[in-house]
Amino acid sequence: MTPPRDSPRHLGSVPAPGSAAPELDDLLRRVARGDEAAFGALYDQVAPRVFGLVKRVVRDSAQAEEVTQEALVEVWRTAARYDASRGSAAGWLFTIARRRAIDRVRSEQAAADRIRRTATQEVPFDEVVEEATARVEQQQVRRCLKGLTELQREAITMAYYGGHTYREVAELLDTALPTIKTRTRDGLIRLRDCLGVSFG
Amino acid sequence: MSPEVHTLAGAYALDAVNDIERAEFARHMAQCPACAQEVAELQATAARLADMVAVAPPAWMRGAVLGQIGQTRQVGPWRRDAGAPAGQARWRRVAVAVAAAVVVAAGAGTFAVQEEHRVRDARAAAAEASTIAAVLGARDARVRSEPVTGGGQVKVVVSDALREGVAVLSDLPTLAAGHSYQLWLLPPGQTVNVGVLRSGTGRQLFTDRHGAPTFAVSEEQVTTPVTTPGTVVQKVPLL
Repeated sequence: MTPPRDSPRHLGSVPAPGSAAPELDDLLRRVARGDEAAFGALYDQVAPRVFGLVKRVVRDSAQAEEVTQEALVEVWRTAARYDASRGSAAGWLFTIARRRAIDRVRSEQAAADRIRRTATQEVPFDEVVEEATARVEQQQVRRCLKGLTELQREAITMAYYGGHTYREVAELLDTALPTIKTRTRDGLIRLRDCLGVSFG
Repeated sequence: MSPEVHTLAGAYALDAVNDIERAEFARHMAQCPACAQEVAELQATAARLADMVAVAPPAWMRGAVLGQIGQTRQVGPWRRDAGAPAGQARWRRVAVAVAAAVVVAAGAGTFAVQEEHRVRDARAAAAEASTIAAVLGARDARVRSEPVTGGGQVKVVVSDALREGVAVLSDLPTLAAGHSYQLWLLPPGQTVNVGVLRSGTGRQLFTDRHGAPTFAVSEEQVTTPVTTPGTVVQKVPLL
């Protein structure tokens, strides 16, 4: 499953079109020092993605607004604890937002109830494609997602956008746990190579 | 590195794992720089998935958030000083460390764990694991740790909101035959027996109804049922 190591993943050291990762890192460092103007710039850069992601997970606009605010305030509060040597600023920030969103969903309803509901409703990839606009980076992610196998794509989008653990994904897809584990990893590796993402 | 552990890299990068798995994998990464590198790359890849769903939030939100941060005190970088404000993220990380300790303890005390598992059905074990994860991840979780004379340490995590706690013993001195470590909560004027461990490494979930100020470990003879601690090995202040 893993593409050959000579595939062009290190092209990613040149930021993808529209990618603003270095700048985000820098903004976060300034935010950590209490720079409110930097936080404003960071807000402008990430708020649509944070709001979109949270909305995708909680599936309710009013709650998504609340959770997005909480998550962004948390980013302000804990910015000093972001460790650039361990991961990208965007990854850190979206993890905070996604966890908040998942906490909200879990406190709203029993997990079993949610599994039952989403099992019948969830068609993440189609919805995602439908909503994607023509922005360049979105097109790139969309194209790369299309390059995955169906199971890889489902495992990743259900976990990420659905806020499910891989165990829940296995249950929802009625697929063996080790299969979901490996497909998730293989799919992400393929996505990484397609997007040319690198780190460090 | 075991390939089986490593396949969790994808689910870990998506943060689609439970607290115990997260702690276990974090421990794995600490010994495997290549794995840490892969996870960092996969996390950056996962972050790109947020591009796909970007939606402009309502315009009022910018002012609301900027207003809130003006009144929100920032926490400092990770430090060990106990007086620092106890933010949720801080506890999350402490909780992960403790979860890792639980995993280590479970591994080191293999015999005790296997023995436990023989008598406990899988459902109860799963319920316990999820309660432990809830305690470790609770927003108000407090972690207290004391070294033990003779070696090892006692670590206690309590959540007032959940009224539950987890005690983790690691590497306490080997017990004489017929002895056990007994765990206690000491509310004012009372002694409440909250569990027994047959070895110096292990963990115990307990209920803390009254927010007891002190936790204690004593050494007892297995054959003698006790209502008060005999030889106290270590006390742990919980407040």
